[in-house]
Amino acid sequence: MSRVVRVPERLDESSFETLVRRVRSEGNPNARLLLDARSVGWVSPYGLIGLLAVGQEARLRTGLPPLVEPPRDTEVRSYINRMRFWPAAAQVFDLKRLPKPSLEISDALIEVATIRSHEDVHSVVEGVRDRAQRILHDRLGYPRPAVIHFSVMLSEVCQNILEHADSIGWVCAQRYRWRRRLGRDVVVLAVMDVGVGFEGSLGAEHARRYGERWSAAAALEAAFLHGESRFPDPGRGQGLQAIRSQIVKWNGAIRIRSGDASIARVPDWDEGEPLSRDLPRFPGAQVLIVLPERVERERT
Amino acid sequence: MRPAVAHTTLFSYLVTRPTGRTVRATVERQIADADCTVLAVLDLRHVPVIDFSCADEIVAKLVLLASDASTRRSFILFRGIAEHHLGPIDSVLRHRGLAAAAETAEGEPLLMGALDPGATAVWREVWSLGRTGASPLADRLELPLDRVRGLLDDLVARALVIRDGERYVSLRHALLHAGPPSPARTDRPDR
Repeated sequence: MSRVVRVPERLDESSFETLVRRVRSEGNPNARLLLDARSVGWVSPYGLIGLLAVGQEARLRTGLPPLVEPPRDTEVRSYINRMRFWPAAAQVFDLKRLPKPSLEISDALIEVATIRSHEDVHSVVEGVRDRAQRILHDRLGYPRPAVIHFSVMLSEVCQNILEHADSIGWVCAQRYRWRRRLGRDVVVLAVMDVGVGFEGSLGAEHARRYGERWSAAAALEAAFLHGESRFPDPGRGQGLQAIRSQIVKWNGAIRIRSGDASIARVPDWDEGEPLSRDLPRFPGAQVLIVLPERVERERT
Repeated sequence: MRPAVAHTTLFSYLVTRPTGRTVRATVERQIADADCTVLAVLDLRHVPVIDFSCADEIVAKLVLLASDASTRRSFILFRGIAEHHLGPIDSVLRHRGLAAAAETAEGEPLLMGALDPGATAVWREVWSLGRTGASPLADRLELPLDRVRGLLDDLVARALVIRDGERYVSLRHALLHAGPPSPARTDRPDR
């Protein structure tokens, strides 16, 4: 017998917390999960791969491949089909039948891609160049070198899955018009895994030094703010620092959620807490990066 | 001392640590296989992207190897460096307190990483002169001879300059006067 968990109608980084809370609290946790996404009317890249993460977590925990009811809304169905959600979902969920691949050309920066190996990272990074040029440079006004800086950032954040999570993960990116929140176009990049998370990854190397203060929040601070890594090699830990530094230069936002905490670089145009604790616990790491359109005075 | 030159031209996206380790292993093998001092030349002019992980695995760790006095039989020169390579490479070198000799895609000398201004000035002068002694350098830079000798010792220890008796040789000079190059290697990392 399955336990049904309803997916929020608007699925993004904020309602992902609601979904995780529901999955943790509703019904028998060891029963097969059925994610009911029929009423979903809008989904962001974070929400899209969030569904995969929630499904994968349930699969690993129960040993039972979860089920998913697709959205009824035709626009949402078409969107997630164009984003190549279903081929990735087929590796997580027990799908009765796989929807036909979309023949429409996606306008996404990166369609849903599963990261299992360093070859997958190469594939994502090498495949993004032309679209990044079109979206970041042509549409959002970033200088040409930003396309390369974005590729480097993408490479580092995807490698984080393999180097620290010991698990598969997913990446997805899309351009949006954020009318109310910012009044500008943005690129939203989401990267997730359900691996050991920052607390588990850094624990062997750093937990003893922190003693009772060791937690998901402490691990996130150690990695995000101080560049600490699980490897004793002094050359490690630079990727995340480089990402943070690049995002500061672009006045973008980054939020990393892991375990029961999240840490963020909150720009002046956004709201949110730099450090949050006591979130519903969820394994692995979930990264959200938002890069805003460059306005005229920033285009130098 | 005329080091043997080993060329490696790189073409692909230099991203991820395993890719970096593969490239580094190729260069380390060239150095290990030689029966004399080696000047390893890595040409990055066709590399569209290098990330921090790969820069650390290739550039920082090869420079570490070259500046290890207990094992050194190598010097490393990076060529074809463009603006988009510089951010990750400079960052990983500074993180480890290292410096590397390089030439831009336009052939300009470039010292990447962490080096104090005095040593940088001496390095540039050696690069410009190609092969010189400490005294002419002290005259040109208007610095005390002892100070220049100290800075040269530091550059030699970091494998940024080659010492040949009482003369100091830039890596570019050593490359240009090394005779016919070894067959150009065009390695593509196996992934």
